[in-house]
Amino acid sequence: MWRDAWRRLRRRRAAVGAIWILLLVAVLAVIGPSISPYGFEALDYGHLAQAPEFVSRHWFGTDDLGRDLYVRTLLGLRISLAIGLLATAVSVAIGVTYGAVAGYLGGRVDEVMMRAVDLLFALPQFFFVLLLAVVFDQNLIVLFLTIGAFGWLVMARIVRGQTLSLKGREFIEAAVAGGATTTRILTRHVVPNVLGPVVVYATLTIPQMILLESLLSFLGLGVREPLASLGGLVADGAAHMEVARWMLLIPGGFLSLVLLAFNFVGDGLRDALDPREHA
Amino acid sequence: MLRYAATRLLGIVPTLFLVITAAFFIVRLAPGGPFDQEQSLPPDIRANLEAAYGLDRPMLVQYGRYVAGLLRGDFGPSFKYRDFTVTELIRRGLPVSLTIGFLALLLAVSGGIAAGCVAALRRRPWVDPLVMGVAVIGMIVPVFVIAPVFQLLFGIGLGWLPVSGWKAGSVGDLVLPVVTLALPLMAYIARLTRGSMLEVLASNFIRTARAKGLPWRRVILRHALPPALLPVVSYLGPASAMVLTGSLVVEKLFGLPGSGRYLIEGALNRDYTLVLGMTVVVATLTLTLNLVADLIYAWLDPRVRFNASAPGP
Repeated sequence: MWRDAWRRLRRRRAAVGAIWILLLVAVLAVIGPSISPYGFEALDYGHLAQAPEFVSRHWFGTDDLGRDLYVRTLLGLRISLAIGLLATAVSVAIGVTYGAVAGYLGGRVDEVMMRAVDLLFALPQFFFVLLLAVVFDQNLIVLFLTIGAFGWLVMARIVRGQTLSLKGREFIEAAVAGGATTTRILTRHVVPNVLGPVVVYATLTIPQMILLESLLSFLGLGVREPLASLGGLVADGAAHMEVARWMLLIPGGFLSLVLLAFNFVGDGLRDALDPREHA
Repeated sequence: MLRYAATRLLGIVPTLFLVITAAFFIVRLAPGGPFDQEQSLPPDIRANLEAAYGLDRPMLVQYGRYVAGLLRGDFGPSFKYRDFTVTELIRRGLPVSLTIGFLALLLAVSGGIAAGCVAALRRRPWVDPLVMGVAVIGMIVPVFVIAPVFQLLFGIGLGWLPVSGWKAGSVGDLVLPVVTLALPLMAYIARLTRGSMLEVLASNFIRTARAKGLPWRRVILRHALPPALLPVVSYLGPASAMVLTGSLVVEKLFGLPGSGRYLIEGALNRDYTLVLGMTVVVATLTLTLNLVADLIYAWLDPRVRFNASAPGP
């Protein structure tokens, strides 16, 4: 099934292109900053708010304080990607466990667990993240935990649905008859079989997490100065866009690119893994 | 129908209660207090201040007083804007925010449905990919990237529209904020409508209508469109939540004196009562709007009312 899916995925040019772009971006984020002679906090008074140019090695220009935008943008990229990936990993871990347990155990347990999910779902997610960011003074760890804390809800629902339909299958019956413990059944039979939708949704969750974090940073409540996050860079850029367009367009462009790429890959995966695909 | 509405309405109350309680205790968890950021106060003055604001009482008492206040419509004093109560601040900003939000929703729904239909009907081969391409970009590129770009393009570059500001009764000021706020929603609704229309147009009863010789326009408007709109209606709930979140960004960028801006400033100033109050207001709005959307959906699709566990298509 995976090989088929891979073949189908490869046929969708948008998704393949997006994967290449993401790889390129990842490479840039990791090693890019080391190529430049500038640090992310270094103030270059000789080149304040300068447009991108080759000679001074300020390839993306500088901001109004003289900080090199190339390094800052890539650093912001690094942070945004890291938060997106880690927060998604946390949501997947929690969501899959929760959903599988609820779906498999069924009955009252399932009802109660899903009620809790519904309740949490009704809360205005962003505002609680904001509240927690304020209360804990934009502590990076708290930030990342709260962002991930809301992500697992939909994952749990999806996994529960999948588990419910899996429950009736023969191999589960066989495992039970063979005397397998519930934990064993869950880990070795249920989870591997729900991975398809999980992978798809995880790929689509990553941009959501990145968006949430950059929204917070844009409003000034996320990653703190002098650390850069793409959202914060866009905020600076918006404030100076009359005189320094690149401050807005370059981080904004990178952010949009990453979000679009992840979404294309996710959509491609979803279509590739869906056995009922019609052209 | 009434019974369904009543049950759902009652269902909101515990959730709201949960939200208020959670928000209240989260805020009280904050390390330090609201007076920490000032220059250090002599201890007796601080004790007096805290007594005046009721902060020296045990937590549960404070909670009780807060909830009692809420029932009276009193959100407590603002800790940073010393002369104002939170209620006053919220009341100042809310009309602006609600106006923008409502207009944006209206635009998103009408524009989105229209765009989706145009894409689904495909009068020309390039229409569908074009509309959907624009929709994807509108959906995914964040509001806070699109907004400044629009400001740059339409305000500074072309000079057609004012970049920011809010003069009472000025329509020009409204255009950019409302359009920017509506864009992601419009894009998503367009996608939904297109998909839904395509499905409906392929169904049997449409074929029957056409076979009967009904004019195409009538078939679309009276027979195809109404069922196709169901997914859009169910999206209205999450859509209003998105409008609320988006308005924070839009108000900040366009300098609009709405309640979202107070929330952000309150957050940056660590003005806990203000942030708490706004969270409560937003939660109430979200839950109410979700309820309204669900009720509309239930009214349109009777299956929902009678079979609570199967929420329709």
